[in-house]
Amino acid sequence: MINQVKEIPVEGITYKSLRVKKKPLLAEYVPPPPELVPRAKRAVCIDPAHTCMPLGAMWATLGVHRAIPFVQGAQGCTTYVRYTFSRIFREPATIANASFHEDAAVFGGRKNLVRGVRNLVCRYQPELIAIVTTCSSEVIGDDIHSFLDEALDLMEEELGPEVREAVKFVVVNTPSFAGSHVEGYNRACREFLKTLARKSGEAGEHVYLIPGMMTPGDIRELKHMMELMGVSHRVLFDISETLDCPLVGMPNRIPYYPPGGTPVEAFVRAGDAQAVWALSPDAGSAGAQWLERRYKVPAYVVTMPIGLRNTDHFLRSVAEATGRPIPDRLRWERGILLDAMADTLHYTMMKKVALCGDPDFVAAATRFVCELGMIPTYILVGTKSRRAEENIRQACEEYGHQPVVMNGGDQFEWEYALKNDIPDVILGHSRCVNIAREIQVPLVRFGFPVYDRVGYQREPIVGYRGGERFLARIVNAILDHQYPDDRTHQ
Amino acid sequence: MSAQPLVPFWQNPCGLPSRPGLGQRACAFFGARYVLGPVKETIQLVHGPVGCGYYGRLVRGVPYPLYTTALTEKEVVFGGLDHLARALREAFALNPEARGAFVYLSCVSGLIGEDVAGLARLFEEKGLPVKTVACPGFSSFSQAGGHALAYEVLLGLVKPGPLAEEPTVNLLGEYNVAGEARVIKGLLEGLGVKVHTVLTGETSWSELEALTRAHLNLLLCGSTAQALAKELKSRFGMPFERVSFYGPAAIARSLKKMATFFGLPEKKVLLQIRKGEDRLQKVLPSYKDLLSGRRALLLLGAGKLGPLARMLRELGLEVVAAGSIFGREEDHQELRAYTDLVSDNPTEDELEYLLKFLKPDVVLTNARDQWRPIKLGFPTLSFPQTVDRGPYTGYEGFVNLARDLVKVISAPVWRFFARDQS
Repeated sequence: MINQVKEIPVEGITYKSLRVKKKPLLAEYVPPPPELVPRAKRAVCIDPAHTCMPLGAMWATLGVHRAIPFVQGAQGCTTYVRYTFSRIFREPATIANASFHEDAAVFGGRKNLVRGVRNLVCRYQPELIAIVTTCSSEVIGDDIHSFLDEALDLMEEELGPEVREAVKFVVVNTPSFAGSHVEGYNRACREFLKTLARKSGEAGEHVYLIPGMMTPGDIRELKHMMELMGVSHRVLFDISETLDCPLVGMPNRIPYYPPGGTPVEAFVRAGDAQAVWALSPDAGSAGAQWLERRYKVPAYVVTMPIGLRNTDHFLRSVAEATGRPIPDRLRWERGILLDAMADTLHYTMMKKVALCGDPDFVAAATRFVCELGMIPTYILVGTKSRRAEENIRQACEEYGHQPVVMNGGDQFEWEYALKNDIPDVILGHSRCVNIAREIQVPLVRFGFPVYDRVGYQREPIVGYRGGERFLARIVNAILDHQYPDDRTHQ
Repeated sequence: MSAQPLVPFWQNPCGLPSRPGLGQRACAFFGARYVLGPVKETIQLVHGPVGCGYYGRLVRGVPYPLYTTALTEKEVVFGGLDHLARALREAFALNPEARGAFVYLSCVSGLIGEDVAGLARLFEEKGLPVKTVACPGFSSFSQAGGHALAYEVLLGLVKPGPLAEEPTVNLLGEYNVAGEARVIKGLLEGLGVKVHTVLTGETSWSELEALTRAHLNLLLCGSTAQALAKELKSRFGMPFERVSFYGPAAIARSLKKMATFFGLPEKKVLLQIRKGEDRLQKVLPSYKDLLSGRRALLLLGAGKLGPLARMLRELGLEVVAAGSIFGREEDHQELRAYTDLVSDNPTEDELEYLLKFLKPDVVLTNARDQWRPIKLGFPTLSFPQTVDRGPYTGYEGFVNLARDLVKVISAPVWRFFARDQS
């Protein structure tokens, strides 16, 4: 845009003069027929805002120590996910694949599973293999459990009986046509606990947290808060030390495994947990609720702790369940967030904001932007979720806003709405870049997936400290875009 | 080479099915989408669950638009053909400028046996050309099957027509990674040769229909586009030449080939080659000092390996081992001139053994696999390169490659830790 400004005025350029009015629509531009804009009235899906179930299950598995997801499907089902993860985390992630070829489509994936699992066990010595099904194996109707029995029998013959103890198996049924990646994570969560969790009778000393598809930075922030509370805790599917690890050099033992991850033993002892929190209602609550039903572990399903009230709510529930007071240190952090909110209210108040992303992230962030005095206008919930919509409605009612909620819509619908009613800022994932460029609105990245910013995965947005940083990111984006550099401080 | 330590590295030949649990390959849909993605004036629609539509946009560096029918349980059980027909009609309504549509079949639609070809005929009768790309993920051993399918579809679009007046060529198997097409066009235009279309880096439905305008097809990537070149020759009598613009020797050879074909004055060609090589001489010697004698490990699609090994040798590097994700035996033959350790579809643990025992100075691999060697402390250059790194083709591309190699090898970060823990 800058090269369109003919002369640079002597007194400096204001941002207003930098922003060039959009060119009038080209003559050949035909607006889409209005009846085809809402997703519900269309058969064709344009730029879906969610992806398929196996990704969620693989994400969860990669948070377990020495665990490998084994994808029972065609090779692409892994390639894309590996590529997605590698773009988000910039970390190696081992994901195995059954390599379905034409014969598997005809005769079923028995041979692929039996041989594949054996190959994995021999070469990678994992502690856990999660068998993640795909649409192809589900349509063929693979009987995974009987295949697995056969694989175990053969491995026992070949490698000795200790193989049954050494490697644990979890089967997660994730046909991609039945839900989104959020549901995939949710199912994986339930299946992991169903398969592994036991109750020994003696009371465990830990509380359990199921983070959902949070980034490593978020999980570290959760741990930080729990440490301040003095609550001994375990995070299930802890990707903070598997998908964000230091560069170490050549490991002594090949193959390389990241040092961290939730140990399998933590899942086994989950039946003794004092309490369990699902921090993403749509990704993980199934696991928490199963623990409650089966082993009477008190389960708390809370909105993701983004922003002030959501974090308050989460910490209060922890305090009530464990009987621990909220320490001064956390009150201090809360105060800092409050201070930041008060300091910057000029830049956030009455700014129109559009949101896009997974239900848990969007529902929590909507409340946060309301707390900042912003006006949510168009909210795209990538995966259809009643709970997220309720949360959004509730938050917006409290603050007197009436946003348009596109529950389970696609990005085409949302972007069309944005073009006709341009917001001041967009909160969304990296796939919102195009629309942000087109309508010249700053984009604050959050949620899944963020792949075009370095270090995003290490920056928390949950908790008070995360909220403060998230706020800073939002305000800085607005400042960068709307205010000349020399007039920001008053 | 004989002095190399014994490495647990399975030397697999090409063309074998993947070993379950150990593959790093992609699926047929990936290959088809890779080739067809950039074709303009088309509607691209994947008939499958939402995941294939979501991921189909990240096959190429540029997220080319892709529609999907986002099949749900209902359609999987009761058939999704009506849904597809509706989706296609809507897609045409939303894109009045489209000349036609490509419908990709993914695993699900392949398995439930949808008669998409029949539906395509119905649309064609209405004057809306719909081409079916039957590329369920399981239908081939690797993405190569998808490439072949996609080129078959493209071949179906070509119509006989008049020849162009000036010397004109098509570039086949040129995917315009980081602006390669621009560099090649520049080289050819220096000789007075026009480029009609770039398959499939920069092309459109109309350009494909008029493909026979060109006098000559230049075959840049043998593994993906060879069948197309042969078929164009037998059907339309279009001759093809195998060329490469990777590395100065290959550029000179290719330009001379072109000159002979079009009967261009030799002086003009030699002048252009000299001009390019003079430019190289200005910057390359300082890079070569840093690069010569360095040892490289390659892990990429086989078609890319041969030209890359050649360029590395021209820069003074030695290739210690090469693994292809997928490829043809001819590609492996070409590679054996550079290294003895050649395998197809190596696994992650094999890669780690290679790194441990061979200790290469630089690893060249693809974007998905680059983080493992980096984590283990090896300078790594990833492919396809991003736009900011520029193309690796032509004279300027050769400099770009040398510069990037120097960048990754001489980055100070590799000095701050002990690579070997044991």
